Amino acid sequence: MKGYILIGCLFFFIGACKEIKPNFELPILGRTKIINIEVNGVLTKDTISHRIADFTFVNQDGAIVTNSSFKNKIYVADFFFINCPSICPEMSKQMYRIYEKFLENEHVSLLSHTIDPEYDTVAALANYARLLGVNSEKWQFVTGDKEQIYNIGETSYMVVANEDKNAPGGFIHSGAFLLIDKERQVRGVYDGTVTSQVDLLIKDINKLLMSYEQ
Amino acid sequence: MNNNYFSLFSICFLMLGCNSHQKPAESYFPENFDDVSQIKYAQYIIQGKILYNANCSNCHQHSGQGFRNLYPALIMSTTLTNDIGSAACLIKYGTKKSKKASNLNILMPAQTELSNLEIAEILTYIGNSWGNQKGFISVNNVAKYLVDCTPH
Repeated sequence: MKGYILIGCLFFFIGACKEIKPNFELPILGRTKIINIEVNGVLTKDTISHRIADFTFVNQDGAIVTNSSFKNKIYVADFFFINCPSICPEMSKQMYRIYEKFLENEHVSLLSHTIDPEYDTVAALANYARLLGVNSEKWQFVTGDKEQIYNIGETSYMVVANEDKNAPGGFIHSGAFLLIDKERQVRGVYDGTVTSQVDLLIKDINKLLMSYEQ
Repeated sequence: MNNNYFSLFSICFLMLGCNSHQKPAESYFPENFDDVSQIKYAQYIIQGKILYNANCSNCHQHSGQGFRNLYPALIMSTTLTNDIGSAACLIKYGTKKSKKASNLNILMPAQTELSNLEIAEILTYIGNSWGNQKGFISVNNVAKYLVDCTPH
């Protein structure tokens, strides 16, 4: 009897050591909605996944940016402001790594939303992009209606973005990088201030790109 | 008894060995100082490095190299060499949010909570690291520099 338990334990441990499947798919994050639809005259239910809502912003070139600007692209989104003394310098540095990595890949875009649209005007964002030395094809910095930015941050991208007089710089926001697929679904959340997390994001971008090639 | 002394001595020795506040390799140490000045200078540099890493390195980086053109490098800095007084003002009061130049500048935040001694330590560290050789910057120097700043 004891022998069987030992053998059982052994198998259990061997099982635990098995490598995680390297090709597992990225999850689709957010709450799925169940909706009523009519198929061939019969009322039935269907589930739809969480998607990024429609948006209209203006980028550093003064051009309108909407969801269709990211058609057939996957993109990384974040929330920042130019004169942010705390985490943004590190976020910009990490996002720049992604920029360099995927500069030649037309299927990957970057989207940074300012949460201080009063100060971060189109001209200010253009200057920021110029100092950073990045092109607007690849990395868009967008401004727009403040409420729309906070709203899309909290409800679509599921991150904190708001004004807070007590926070350094006057705004509270998460340092998260969000990976969005071609279907406007959130496929990953990463800490944009931690190098190892951004390494993982770079791997996941490649993985997501591969899934479209099959 | 002797054994006890030996143990105590060993512990002290080990503790000294573990001291992480070693002279930073990136900093310049003048040789013409007397012993007292040398100790004081080293204290400023070591404390300055801790303060720099806590308050400045987020943008200017631990290595002083800055980042792209957003955050200026402090390596071989002409501002630190030629106008250390304005550097003291920048640390204390940040850059001015001017209405005229619209908002094209990336502002350096004010750090008014830093004392004159802390600013002196930071300036001594950055003024004598990464190729800069400004020498010792004392609290009294900083007090003088700050008189000429225009707080805003």
